[in-house]
Amino acid sequence: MKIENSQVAPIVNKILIDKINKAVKIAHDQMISDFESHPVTKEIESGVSGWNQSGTLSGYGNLYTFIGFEEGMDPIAPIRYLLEKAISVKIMPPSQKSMVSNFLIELPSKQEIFSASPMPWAEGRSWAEGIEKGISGLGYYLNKLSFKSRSEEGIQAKTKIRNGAFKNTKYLSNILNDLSRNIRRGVK
Amino acid sequence: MKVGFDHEVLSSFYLWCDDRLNFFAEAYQPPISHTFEYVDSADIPIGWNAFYSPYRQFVWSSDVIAVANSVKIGGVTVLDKDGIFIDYNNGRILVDTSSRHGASKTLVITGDFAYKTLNVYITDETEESVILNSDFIISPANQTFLQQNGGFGEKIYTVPAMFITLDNSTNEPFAFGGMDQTVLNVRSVVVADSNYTLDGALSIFRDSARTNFPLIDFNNFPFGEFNHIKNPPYKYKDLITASSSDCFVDEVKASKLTDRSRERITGSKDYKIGFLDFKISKARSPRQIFTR
Repeated sequence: MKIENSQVAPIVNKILIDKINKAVKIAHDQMISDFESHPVTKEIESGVSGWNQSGTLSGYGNLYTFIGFEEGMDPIAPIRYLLEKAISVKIMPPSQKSMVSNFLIELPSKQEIFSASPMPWAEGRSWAEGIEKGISGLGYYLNKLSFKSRSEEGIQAKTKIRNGAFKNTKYLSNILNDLSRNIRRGVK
Repeated sequence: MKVGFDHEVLSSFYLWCDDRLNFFAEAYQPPISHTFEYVDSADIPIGWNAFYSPYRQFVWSSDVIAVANSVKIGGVTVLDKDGIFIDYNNGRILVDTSSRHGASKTLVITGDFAYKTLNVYITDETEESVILNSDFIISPANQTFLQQNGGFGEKIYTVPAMFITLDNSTNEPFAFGGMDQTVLNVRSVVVADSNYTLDGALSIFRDSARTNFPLIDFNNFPFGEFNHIKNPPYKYKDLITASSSDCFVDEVKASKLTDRSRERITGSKDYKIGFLDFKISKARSPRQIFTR
């Protein structure tokens, strides 16, 4: 008698999905930990008084003011919300002929995160992406101009500016790649 | 130093942007008569006089309109490179004082040129430096102001304009045999005098994602040292037929400076500022040049 997937799948899939869920949970917890302990996250969480622990500004100033966030803004919160969302694991419809079971694991995407991390001065740009590709010093100078405009009458647009040397660093790409790799390892 | 890959990409990208704006977006005004006035300019070599039009930059390539290759001096037609150079980039005529035209600063020079309504500049300045430290002149509204102040010769940008700069690049392993994917992040700031112009520029380049642009050999670059056309007439569509290699525009992100930030910079609502972030890639064998 020929054994079909429809007979085997209910038993095997239950075992597999438990294993996958367990691996996903461990990898997800690890990802949250990686995100929270990342120097970029910690530096931005420190707000205007933080120091450049990420090394992206060669120790000068901090990312929060360099990117141009205004005091009180919480740019980490929308990213944390996306990352903390539970990762869903779905069983794909079985094929009649094949004995293979397929599972779909929906991970947070880079694009989703980049959309949730707009630059404070240009909403189509992402600061989280900028950490990896480079950020201009415009936000910093805009904040400086804003401060001048509050403390003095009128603003001088021609502020001689110092060439910023922002050092790109891998941030969420690495965290998401590690998540994917850890899940694969966990289910093997 | 020899010309490197990045030089060729950036200059090819510049020509491509210029063509997108001129041919596809039709961002130019048809030819009008210009009268060129003498201005003492710092960037002019000894032995040359510069005569400026109120407009910069002239259209230098078109499949639709005539691109002039001559001016009239005292009513007599003088071709480019006949003792003069037509500097299309700066909208000026450079006159060789040792030529038959002489060193007179009162030459009556006229010509019919189309001018761009969105200029294109390659710059090595940072984005913040372009926006915060540059002097802008809105073309053509300020032309009278320019004439009164003799300000043609100053190193200032005429806007609306697009400023292109190569931000950073990486080589990523791509295939066996030493082939890499060279990824270049090119940034551009668009400074315009109206939302219409800004939106038009952002729109045409955002829609150019996932297309190719031809890589032009540096020797075939159409412009000479005085921003004159080396071998007129220059037509971009003819130039690219000689190219055998393309670069891929992987991604284009368009964004605008928020109103609040813009007001901080300009203190008024005169300029509209947008950004275009291009990701350009090319599969190549970068280490081949190191073979002795």
